[in-house]
This record gives sequence, structure tokens and C-alpha cells, in this order.
Amino acid sequence: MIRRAAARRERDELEVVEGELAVPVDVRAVAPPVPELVPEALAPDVRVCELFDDGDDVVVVEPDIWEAVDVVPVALVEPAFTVRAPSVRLARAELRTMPLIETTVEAPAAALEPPPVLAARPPALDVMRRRPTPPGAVSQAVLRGHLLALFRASRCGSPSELQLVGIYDRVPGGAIGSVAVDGSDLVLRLVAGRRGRPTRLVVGRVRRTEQLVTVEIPA
Amino acid sequence: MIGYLAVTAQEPLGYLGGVLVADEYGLPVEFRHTLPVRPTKLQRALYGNALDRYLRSVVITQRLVAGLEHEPAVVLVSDVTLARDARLPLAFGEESGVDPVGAPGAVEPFAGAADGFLLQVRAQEAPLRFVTEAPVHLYPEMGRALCEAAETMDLFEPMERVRAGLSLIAAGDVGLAA
Repeated sequence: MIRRAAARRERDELEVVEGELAVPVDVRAVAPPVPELVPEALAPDVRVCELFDDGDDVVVVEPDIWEAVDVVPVALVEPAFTVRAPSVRLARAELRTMPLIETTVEAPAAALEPPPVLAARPPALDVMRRRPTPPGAVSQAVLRGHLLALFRASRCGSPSELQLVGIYDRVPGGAIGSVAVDGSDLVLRLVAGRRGRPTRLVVGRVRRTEQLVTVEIPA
Repeated sequence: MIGYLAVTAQEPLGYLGGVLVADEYGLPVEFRHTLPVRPTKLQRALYGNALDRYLRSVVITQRLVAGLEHEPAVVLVSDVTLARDARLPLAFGEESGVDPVGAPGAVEPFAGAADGFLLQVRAQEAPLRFVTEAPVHLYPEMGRALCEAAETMDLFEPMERVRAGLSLIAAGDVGLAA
């Protein structure tokens, strides 16, 4: 079918001839139109007015360039808060009376007070006791001299009438009022107020009368 | 001068103390005694076992020493518990039984449970032993006074007289006034 269409088209084609279309046209130069210039204000009019003179001193007002800052803590902005001041004042003590069982407190003397001191002179202070000097402590020559002095003081007629009681050292010569024999001790009764001196006391006894005889030998 | 101080307990009178100051021959120069001290039952209960020692060594001894007119170089006491620190040197003396510590007058301090010194009174004899709380620097002076007294008197004999005097006072055989 396609072949028959193509054959038909070849038989129907026509021949085309170029025609005369040129027409003379008169062309003239036309002058361009003159543009109209219209002035246009470039800036608006400035209104100038004269202000008052503020004098020689110029006051420069610092502009407040700081923005207002809210320094209130955010947490406290919304709710209202109470300012509390701690107080250290002590409240006055309150005394309350409480009924107690009445009792009596006693303080007996517990401390031992120093006792009074008195001056006295009991007779015992003037009674001195002495023990005899051991016989070996006295040489024979010294003993002989003591016996001789004792014999002379006894006023006995013979040495045989006299018996040696003892020799006593360190007795207060000149202050002896009387002597007595108490066992092996010699008891000396002193005379108050007399001044003593270092003395050896030789004591004998008269056999016949039992009377004591003494001789003070300066030490 | 040497002082002699004794405290005795006289029943039912109580505690009685006396001090005698004797010269170098043992003759009495001054004698003072306390009035009897009789602690109450309450005081006995409060002081307990310390009562006897406190009463003797503090209440009576210190009182007696404080009131002395004469000031002996040393006051010999009748009991070692009385040899405490006081206005005057207090000492308790006894025979030591040890070897001599030197020439007569030699002082040898000792320390231990009790302080004190040995005093050589006579040559070749056992020294005497003195217990005291007095300062050590006083030992020589105390020893010198004791040695000098021992030359002319029996050093410990006056103590018996003090005891005898206190017995008389306790018995009321002597007037309390001088």
C-alpha cells in the first residue's frame, strides 16, 4: 500500500516557476523626534528654621545608652517574697515558780579547826633522866679523880662509907635542883630559870644513910 | 636550840600536841601545847582513815610550829608521819645502825621512800638517821645544830619530857595557863 501511495504522489507532482514580485518603493530618511527635557527635583526641599541661642556653655546631655536591666532574680520576679532579718536578741527568761517540797539543809562542821595553843610549864619538863656512862668509857686516872672529888663532897670519914652510883655525862650543871635514882636511870629535877653549863655528874650514895651525894665536874 | 614536838591521843580527851624548845643543855626555853582536839563522829566518818594522820601532822603540828616564839634550827618530832614541810624544819630522828659516814658532823643525804640524812654525831658510832621533808640545802645547818646539842645534852631525851608533860596536861594536873 505504501508503494502505491508513493507512485501516485510522483504522478501528481507539478512544476514551480519563480514569479516577478519586485515593486519599487520610495524610501526617505526621517529625522528622529527631539526629546522634551523636563527637570526633575533630585532632593526634597529642606525646611530651615533658626533656633534660639543656648549661650556660651554648652550642656551636653549624655545619652542614656544603657538599657534597663532587670536585676531581680528570675526566681523572685514572679512570686512576692518576704525580707527576713535574723534576730539574736534573747528573750527574757521567764521565771516560773514551782512548788517544791520544803527541806532544811544543814552544814555541820566537817573541817577540823586548828586548836587553840597555850603556853604552859608542866613540871615534867623540869625532870630530866639520864643513863650512866659505861665504866669502860672513863679511864682509871679520871675515875680516881672523880671518886676523890666525890669523897670530899660527901664529908664521909672513910671511902668505904661511900658507894659510887654512876657517872652521868651531858647534864646541865648549875641547873640541877635535886637528883634521884630510878632503876638504872638518874632523875634530875631542874631549877627553872637557871643557866646550864656542860657538866659531868658523879653520883654516890652514903651507905649508912642512903643519901645521895653529887659532884659536878665541868666537861 | 632544838625543838621537840609530840602529839598524843589521850582517851577520852582526844588529841593533844605539845612542843618544847630546849637550849643546848636540854633546859626548857619555851613550851606550848594545844587544847585537846576531839573529832566528831561526822568528822571521823568524813575523814576516814586519813583522820589520824591529818589531825596529827597538819592540824596540830602545823599549828604548834606556827605559834613558836623561838625558832630552833630543827624540830624533832615524835612520829615520822609528823616530819612534813612546815615553817621550821621538822625531822624524825632515830639510830641508824649503819656504818659511820665520816667524821663527827658529817651529813650524808639519802632519798627513797623517805628523804633525809645520816648524821655522824660521834666518832666510830653509828650515825643517827633523820627523816625530813626540809630542803636539802638545810641539811648541813640542821646537822650542825644537832651535833652541837649532842655535845652537851642527850639529843632525844627531851621528847620524853614532852610526852610526860602532855600526860600531865591531859590528866588535869597542870594549869593550862603559863
